[in-house]
Amino acid sequence: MARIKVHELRGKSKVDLFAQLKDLKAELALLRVAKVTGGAPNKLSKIKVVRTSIAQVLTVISQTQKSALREAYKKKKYLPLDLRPKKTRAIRRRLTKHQASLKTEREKKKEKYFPLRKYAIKA
Amino acid sequence: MQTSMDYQQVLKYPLVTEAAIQSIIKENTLVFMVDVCANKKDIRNAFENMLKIKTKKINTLINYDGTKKAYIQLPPENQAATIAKRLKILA
Repeated sequence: MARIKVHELRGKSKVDLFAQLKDLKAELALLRVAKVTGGAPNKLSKIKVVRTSIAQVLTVISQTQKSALREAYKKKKYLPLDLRPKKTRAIRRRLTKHQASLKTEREKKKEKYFPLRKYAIKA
Repeated sequence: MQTSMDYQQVLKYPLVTEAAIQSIIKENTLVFMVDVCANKKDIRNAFENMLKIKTKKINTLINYDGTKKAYIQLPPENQAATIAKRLKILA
């Protein structure tokens, strides 16, 4: 079987991907039997290739699923917790940039009428 | 425990020790290493779905190192020797 190219996987439908996953796992099972019964070295070295292909297919499946979910929730107010940014607990509890930059009317007027002046001293 | 395993994860590989080959020839049973979380129902399921083989009786045991071994007896119509040749367990 040819080497899997991930960019080709991304175009496939979910059904195709699951079917491919099934084939790959069946192939892995055969290779494992070959390993136990003393198989040829070309079979044994193929085990690693098949395992990474299985991982690649599973990654593509979960990535497309996640991105589809994000699209579905884009306009909504509340996101599921695992789609929200993770960062750290403290960072999530901080004021947002917008909230921290808010000023009272009073403060805005002060800044407008009495800005910080720059002077130059004549030598 | 009602949850059943994904049938592709159940069977790991067949055993090809002297004792395992004897059981293929004499008792029409295949010996497989199996996932520890698998129960006999899962193993039967895996055989029927993945390998399309009917099973008569399954005995399991857990080895000292935490792996599970399953002795899978086949009904008389299925000859274990021919199946073992098909699966490349016997040469």
